[in-house]
Amino acid sequence: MDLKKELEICFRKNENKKLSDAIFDVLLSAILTGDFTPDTKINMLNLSNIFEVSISPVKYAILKLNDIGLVQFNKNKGAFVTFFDKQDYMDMFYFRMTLEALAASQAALLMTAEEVDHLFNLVKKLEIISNELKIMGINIIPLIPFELTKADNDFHTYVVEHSGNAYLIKQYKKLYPKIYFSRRFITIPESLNYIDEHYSLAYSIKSKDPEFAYSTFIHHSQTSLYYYKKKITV
Amino acid sequence: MNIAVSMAKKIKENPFKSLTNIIYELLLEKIVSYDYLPDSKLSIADLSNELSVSKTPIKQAIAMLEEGGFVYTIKNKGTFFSSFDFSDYINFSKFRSALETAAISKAVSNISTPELNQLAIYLNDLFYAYDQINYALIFSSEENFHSFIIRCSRNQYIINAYNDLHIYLKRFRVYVAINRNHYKMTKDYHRYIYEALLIKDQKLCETVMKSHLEIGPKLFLDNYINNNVEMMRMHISKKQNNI
Repeated sequence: MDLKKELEICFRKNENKKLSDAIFDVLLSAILTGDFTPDTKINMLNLSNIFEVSISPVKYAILKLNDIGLVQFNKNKGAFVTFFDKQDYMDMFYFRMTLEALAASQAALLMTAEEVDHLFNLVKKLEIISNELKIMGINIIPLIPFELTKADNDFHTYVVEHSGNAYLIKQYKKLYPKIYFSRRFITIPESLNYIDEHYSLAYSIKSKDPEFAYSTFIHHSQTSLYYYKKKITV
Repeated sequence: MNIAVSMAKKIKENPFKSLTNIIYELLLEKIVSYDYLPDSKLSIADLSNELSVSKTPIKQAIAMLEEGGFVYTIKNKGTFFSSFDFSDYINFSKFRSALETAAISKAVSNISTPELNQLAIYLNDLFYAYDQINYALIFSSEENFHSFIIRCSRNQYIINAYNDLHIYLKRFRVYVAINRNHYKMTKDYHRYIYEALLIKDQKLCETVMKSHLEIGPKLFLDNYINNNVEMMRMHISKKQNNI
């Protein structure tokens, strides 16, 4: 990824953006797309040379990344892209499961017919991408392709955003970069029911039964957790 | 209390805190205790006169408040204190109940014997507070009890989320404060929670916590809603007149 070019594109979209915010966006997408893998060192001096800006906006952007938990400071060593340990991932997963199940139970009551249709379209999109990837043979690789993660994420975020619960949405948004980031390394699309499961999630929302939606979402999370555990023990 | 006096007190407590943060905390305390009524106007000029500080830290504090949804700005008209309604309270309660239920189901396997003893001490404080009918004490001891269980979940994400909720907890107390009949029941629920933790029954813990946190809004909704809104108005206006 050409970072300098990305910065220019960012400014072309919005000329009035603060420099540090634009750099933040560029670095965020570099981390989320996997250009900066976990445990990579972030060299501020290098970055300021690449972007051709002074050090302080870069520093500000990195502090902001630290705030959302994607970058960590190691004393006397510098800034590194966060590496998730198992416990942290489990904790996040558990919290996410709580949020999403509640969101689903509220969304089941609130979503209109059109919104449910859109939800089904999102699953269809996921299915198309996953089929394409299967044809290309990229099925069992350590890093999940960007498009698939994005489609998966779009689906889950759509449900949360339609729960109508401001407190929940706020917490989910805070967690969002971290979820996105971890999903890229850990989601297991080779699971046989990956697409079917997302269809059943959408159906549970369509049923307008909050209890049913709640338990379906819990089930989905627990299945992925099962695959994750299997993956790390093997 | 005069706002300038409480600011001076806060500065004395921690001289290194930025003025913006101090003003933010002051305003927040005033909002959640209904010293400022919802939908009334917040005048930056008046506030800067009253506190004898410049407008900049006040504006920054207001930006922070706006992020949390406590004030809103209308262009060319000014800044106002946000109002809230019963559905906000319902959403809040649902989220809180989901969060605490998740926390207790983790805490039940993590909690150690010294921690259980500590919880028993908090429970005693709580019973004492209820017997004295001292509302300030009731709220603070409830807070100790609940946040201790949250901390025992050892899940940083849940703990952070609970800390974020904390200020809303104070705001929605007005709904709880009126339900006097509900007080005796709440008192007993804490004992059930403690006992469920003691016998380490995960399912029981979840059920008890869930019904404890959801019974308040349900009671409010079913029986007293019209009655209580009237009482709430009186409660707030009485507070205003005292000042």
